Amino acid sequence: MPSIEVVLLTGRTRRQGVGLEAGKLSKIYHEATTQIRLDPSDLEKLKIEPGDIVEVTTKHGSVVLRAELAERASEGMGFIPYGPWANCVISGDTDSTGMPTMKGLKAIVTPTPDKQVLNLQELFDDMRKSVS
Amino acid sequence: MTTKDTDAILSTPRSRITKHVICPFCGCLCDDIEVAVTMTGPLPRVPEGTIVEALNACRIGHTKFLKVRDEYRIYKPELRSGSNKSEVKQVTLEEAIKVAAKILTKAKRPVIYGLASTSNEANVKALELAEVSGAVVDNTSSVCHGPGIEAVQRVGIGTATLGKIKNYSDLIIYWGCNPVAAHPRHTRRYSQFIEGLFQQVEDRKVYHIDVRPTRFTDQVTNSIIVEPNKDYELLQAVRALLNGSDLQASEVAGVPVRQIREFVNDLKSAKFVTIFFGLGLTQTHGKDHNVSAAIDLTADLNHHTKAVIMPLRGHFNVTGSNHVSTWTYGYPFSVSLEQGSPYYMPGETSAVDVLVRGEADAFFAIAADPAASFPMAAVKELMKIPVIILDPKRCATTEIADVIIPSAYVGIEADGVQTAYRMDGIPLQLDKIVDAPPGIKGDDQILDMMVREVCRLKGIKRYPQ
Repeated sequence: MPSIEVVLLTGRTRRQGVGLEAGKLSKIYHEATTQIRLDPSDLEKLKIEPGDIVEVTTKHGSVVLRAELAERASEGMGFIPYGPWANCVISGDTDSTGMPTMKGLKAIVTPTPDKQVLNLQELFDDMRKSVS
Repeated sequence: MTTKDTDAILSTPRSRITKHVICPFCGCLCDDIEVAVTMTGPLPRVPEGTIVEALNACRIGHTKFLKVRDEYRIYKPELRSGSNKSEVKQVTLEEAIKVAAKILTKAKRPVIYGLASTSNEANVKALELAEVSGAVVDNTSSVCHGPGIEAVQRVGIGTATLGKIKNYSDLIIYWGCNPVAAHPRHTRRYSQFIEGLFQQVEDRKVYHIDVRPTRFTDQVTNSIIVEPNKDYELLQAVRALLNGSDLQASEVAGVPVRQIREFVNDLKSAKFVTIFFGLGLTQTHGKDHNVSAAIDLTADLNHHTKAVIMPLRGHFNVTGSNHVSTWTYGYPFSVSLEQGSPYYMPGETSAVDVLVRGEADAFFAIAADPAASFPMAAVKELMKIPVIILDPKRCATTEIADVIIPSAYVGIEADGVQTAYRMDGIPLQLDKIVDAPPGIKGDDQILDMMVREVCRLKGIKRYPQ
């Protein structure tokens, strides 16, 4: 499978904002936060279409997400809306500021058609396995 | 049904409208919301006291008002147990408080966290709880604009009210932020699209400086795309040109020097420059140093023109949580009260760091959802320790919590005086629009009960027992 390296950004989207007020366990929130937005040229490099499943990996972790089109051209960048899924790939190190580095991380995006995006309960169950 | 009955129904007002309601979503605290609440009347399937409309609110604020009572609302306190917290026992508020207070009392390094989506009055009580529990108390700014506050402590800040910016500012810069997504009405109420007393909309110039173009970029007059993690370099290059130095490069941080020169000329020729900055400066490489440089740029600009700077604060009262903590302890967030006196050291006493180092042995989330906003390394630590959450609605943290205490929505349901600080530091009073569900109290009342219970357990004679 082809894979690409991107600069990973996490941040707010209006849909994610609506989702967090609609309820963090709601379908709106799940759909808004389980995606990585990529430039059309990057989707082409990965030989995938919007809605296909990819795995995003940084040195801090990995997560399975849907690939979606970025709202404006941003080749070489991947944007994941804030949420528990984005938090799987960000650093726990705060550089002595209290603030984790949540933007500007290097990430590898790989198509994984055989994997599924986990729901919140499954994601937490997965984390619990590695805790216990 | 007689004609008289039909007339009576038709003449009954179906809803009451409350005007000038403040929206408790983001730091804009928009105060022009008109909320419609159903009254006794013939509205099928809509119970009395339901919010059915929030005119003027943005889509996010609108959702908050209209989703107050939905399937995710919590109506009874819960104690949860089992490996994945699937065993649920509903208890009374008093029982839940006893269990929660016991957890805090037994812990050696409890963390009390959140406080940005609640009132100043609740913040006061939370700090009191941290004092009597000997806890680390941190608010959500530590994973938001905390680095910016650290920069302010280092270099100060020249700022203004949003009203002053609206009335005077002719050059507005949004740096590292996307108000369309996070503060949807900011440009319409306070900056780009609002007529000021001394500033016409069409004469305003608006820059968007960010690492990628967004929908917001389409609506501004000028855009600068900076390379990720290089905001600091660009800020210092702008300062260098502004202060009379030349740049021996064709581009800085991916921005052509020609474009930086044009930007500097615009800055110098403006009468009132405003820089709004977002998490694009605080969550990226450089963090507090980026904000220091932006504040330094503002200070430099004041040698040429009038300039101010302001963070775009997210949660509606995150500014208030900083104010209350500062007026109480002298420190705006990440305060440790374990030794009996306040101690502040972000990186050491900040919630994420205390968790990631495995030092926290109990966690109390108040009006916040750390399981959805902390890095995985910190969430995994939360899974190892007792977690208490005080929140109106189910969220990611309720799914890993041991004690869930439901509360009233501040600014919609909570009784008594409830105040919040707007992002520019203006305190505003939040009104109650509808009654909370039966038995559900406000954060400040519940935290007061917690303080009293912890005092009772620890034998602290702070209140008459």
